[in-house]
Amino acid sequence: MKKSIILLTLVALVVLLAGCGGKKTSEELPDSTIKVNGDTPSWKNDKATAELDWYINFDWFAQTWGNDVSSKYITKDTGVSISYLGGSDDKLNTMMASGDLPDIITMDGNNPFVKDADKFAIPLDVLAKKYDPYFLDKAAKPETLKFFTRDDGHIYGYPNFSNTKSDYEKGGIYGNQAFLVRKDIYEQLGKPDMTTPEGFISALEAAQKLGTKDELGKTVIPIGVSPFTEENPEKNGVFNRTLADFIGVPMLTKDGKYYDRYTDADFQKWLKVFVDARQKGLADRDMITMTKDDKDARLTNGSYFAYFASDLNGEPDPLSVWGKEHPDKEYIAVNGPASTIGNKTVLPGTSIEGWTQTFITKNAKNPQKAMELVTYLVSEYGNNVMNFGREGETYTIKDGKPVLNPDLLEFKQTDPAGFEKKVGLTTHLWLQDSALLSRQMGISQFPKALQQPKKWTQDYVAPQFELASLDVYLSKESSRNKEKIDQNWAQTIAKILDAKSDSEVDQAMNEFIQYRKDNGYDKLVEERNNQIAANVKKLQ
Amino acid sequence: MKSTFKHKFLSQWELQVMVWPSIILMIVFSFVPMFGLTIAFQDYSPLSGFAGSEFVGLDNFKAFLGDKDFYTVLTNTLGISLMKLLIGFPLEIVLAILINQIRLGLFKKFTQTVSYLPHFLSWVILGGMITSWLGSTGLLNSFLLSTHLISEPLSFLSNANAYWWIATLSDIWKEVGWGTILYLAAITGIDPSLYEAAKVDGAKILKRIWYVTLPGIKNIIVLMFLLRVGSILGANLDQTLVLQNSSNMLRSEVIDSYVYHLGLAQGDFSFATAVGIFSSVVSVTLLLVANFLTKKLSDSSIF
Repeated sequence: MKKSIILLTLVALVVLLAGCGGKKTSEELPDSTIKVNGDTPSWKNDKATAELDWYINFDWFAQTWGNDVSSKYITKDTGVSISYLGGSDDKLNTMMASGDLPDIITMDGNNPFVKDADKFAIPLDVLAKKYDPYFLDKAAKPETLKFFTRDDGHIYGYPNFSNTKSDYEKGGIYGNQAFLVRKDIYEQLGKPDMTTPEGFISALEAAQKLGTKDELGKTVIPIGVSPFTEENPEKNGVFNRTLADFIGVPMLTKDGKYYDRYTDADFQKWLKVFVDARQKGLADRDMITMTKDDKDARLTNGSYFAYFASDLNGEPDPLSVWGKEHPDKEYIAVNGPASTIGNKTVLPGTSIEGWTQTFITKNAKNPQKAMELVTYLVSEYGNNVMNFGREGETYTIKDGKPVLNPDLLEFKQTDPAGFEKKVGLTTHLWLQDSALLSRQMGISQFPKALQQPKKWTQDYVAPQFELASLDVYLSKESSRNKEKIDQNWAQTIAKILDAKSDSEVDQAMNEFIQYRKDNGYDKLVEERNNQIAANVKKLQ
Repeated sequence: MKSTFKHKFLSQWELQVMVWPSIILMIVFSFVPMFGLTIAFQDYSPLSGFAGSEFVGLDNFKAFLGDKDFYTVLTNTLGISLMKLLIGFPLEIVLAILINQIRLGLFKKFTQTVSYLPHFLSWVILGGMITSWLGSTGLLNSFLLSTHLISEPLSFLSNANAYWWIATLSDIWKEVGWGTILYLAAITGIDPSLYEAAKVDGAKILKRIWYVTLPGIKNIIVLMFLLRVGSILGANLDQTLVLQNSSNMLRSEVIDSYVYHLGLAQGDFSFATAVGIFSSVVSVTLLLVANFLTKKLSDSSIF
C-alpha cells in the first residue's frame, strides 16, 4: 500500500518536472539551406515550404489561416502556412511552464514574460544573420531595431505598430484622445471658447440652461468623460493622462527625469475646475460608476453636450449610430481644456515600443522559415500584401499609393467583419507597420464618425519615446507598489471628484502623496528614471 | 496477515473497484498539485519552473503581512462574509420553512422557482443590472425621487460605506432561493406523524415549527453553517469585480480581488500563492473551531 502511494507520488513529480530543459540554444541552429545576402529577402530564393504554429496571446483573435485572400498570397510567396493558436494569459503560463512552445509567439509588449525573452526566444539578430540578413539591412526599421536591442546586444522580439521618429516626421500619425461636443448645441451657444477654466464652466452652464433633450427625452448632460473601467486604456476616465496631455503638462523635467504630473499646479487647477463642474451639477453624476454600456448608451442617444474621450478608437459604434441618424447634431472635436500657463497640447500617438511583440521560440521546428516569414511580414512589400493584397488583382497604385479596388473598398466600409473573414487584409496584423498603412490610406482608413476628430488630433500628436516601456522592466517589489499606487490614485481621484470644497481636494492629494511615499514611491521613480535614461541612450 | 488482506480485498472487489478510481483522481488532481504550494516560498517564474526558481523563504508572506492595505482587505473580507452569514444564513432557513408552509401546490412551486431563478444569472449580468438600477437615473433613484423620499439622486455605488450592504443584499437576493433547496428536502424527510402528534397535543403552527421542523433539520443546518464558516475568507471574486469602482474600493477590495490585482495580474504567482496559503490556513482553523463549538453546544458536527 505505502509503496504504491510513494510510487504514484514519484510518477506525478516526474510528470510535473518534465518539460524543463531540452530547449535549443542559438549555437545549435541548423545551417541555412540557401545562400543568403542582405539585398534580397530569403523567401525569394528559398522555395521550401513549412507549416508553423503561431500563438497569439489574445483570446478574441479568432482568425484562421488560408481562408482569406491575404493569407493565401502570403503562403504563395513564402511557402509558409500558419496554424494560429489563440488564448489568454493562463494558456501562455501553462505553455511557458511546460516548455512546450509553438514556433512563433505574439504577446502584448507589457506582458511580464517579455522581460525573460532570452529564456524562450532565439534572438532575431542571430537568426537574421544566419538565414535572412535582409531583415536587419532592409526590412526592419533601424530605429526600432536599435530600441529593441537589449543589454546583451540581442533583439528578441519585434513589435507591431512601432512608430519611429521618422514616422512622426513623415506625418499620418493620429492621436486617440479628443474633446467632443454636439455640433448643434455648440453652434447654438455661438461656438464658445472652452479652453479656459471660466469659458469651460460658463459654456457648460449655458448648455444646461438650453435644456436640450436627448433621444430618450431627458435633459442633455453638459459633460461626460470616458468611463472609469478596466477596459478603457485609461483607468480613471481622463484623469490619468488625457487631461494632463490636453493642458500640456510635461512628461519629463527639464533635465530629462520622470515628472510627477499629478501634483503639477496647472493639472491641480484644472482638476478643481472639474470638481466645480461636479458640484454645480454640470457633469455626469455616474461618471465614476458607469460601465462601458452606460457610456455607449449615452453617446448613442446624444445625451452629452461635451464628451471628453481618452479612447477615440473605442467610440466608433455609438458615434456612428448617433451621427448617422442626426447628421446635423453629430459630435465634433474642438479645442478643449488648455494650459493656463501657455503650454501646448501634446497628445501621444503610438510609440516606438508599439503594441505587441513577436518572438521566434527556441522550440521552433523550422527557425529558417519562421525568420523568413517575419522578414516578409515586416518589410514594406509584405505590408502591402497584408493590407492591400496583390497589385493588379486587388489594388492599383495611384499617385504612388496603393488603392484598393472600388468593390473591395466598398466591402470593407460597409461590412468590416465580412471583409475581414473573406479578404483578410489588415487582419494578420501582428507584424504590421501601422504608420506605413496610415500614410498610404490617410484619413479614409477611419470610420466616418471618427474622421473629423482624428484629423483634429493630427496637429497635436508628438512622440514621447523617452517613456516607452516605462514599467515593463520594474523589479517585482516596484511593480507591486506601482499597482498599489495606481489603485490609490483611482480612489483619490474618485474622492477628489466628489469633494465639496477645494480644501477637501488638497487634503485628498496630500493623503495620496503620503501613501505613495509609504509604498516605495522613491524607488519606483528611481527605476523609472533608469528606464528613461536607457531609452534616451537607445534613441540617440 | 497478508493472506487476510488479500482475502478481504478480493471479497470486496466490487467496492474496491468503485473506490479506487476516485482515490486516484483525488491524488492526481488534489494532492499532486499541492507540490505547487512550494512556489509561495520561491521567486517563481514559469520559465524556470519549480526546480529552477530561487527560494526566498518567507519573503512573500512578509510582503503582504507587512502591507497596511492587507488589513483593510482582511477587514472587508470578514465584514462582508459575516454580514452574508448572519443575514443570509438564517434567511435561507426562514424562507425554506415559509415555502414549506404554503399549501397551494402550484403557488408553492412558483414561489420556489422565482426565488432561485437569480442563482442562474452570472455576476457579469447581475453586475450590469445592479449598476444600472443603482445609477442616478436608475430604478431605485427614480422610485425614491417620485415618492419624494429624497430630493437629489443618491449615488449608492460610489458611497463606500454602502458597499457592504450592497454586496450582502445583492448576494442574498441571488442565492437565498437556491440555499433553501437542501432545507426543503430535509423538511420533506421529516416523519408526518410527528406533526400529527404535535397537532393532537395542541401545538399551533409556530410551536410545530419550533419543536418539530427545526430539530428535524438540525443536522443539515449545522452542516451548512460549518461549510459557510469554512469559506468565510472567500468573499466572491466575481461579485467584487463587477461591483467595484474607484469610489468604493476602500470597502470593496477583498482578499480574492487583492490577490487578483497584486498577484495574478502582475504575473506574481508566488505572492498570490502565499496569500492563498494564508487564507486556507485561516479557513481550516475557523472550520475546526466552529466544528468544536457546535459539537459542544448542540452535539452535532461534521467530524
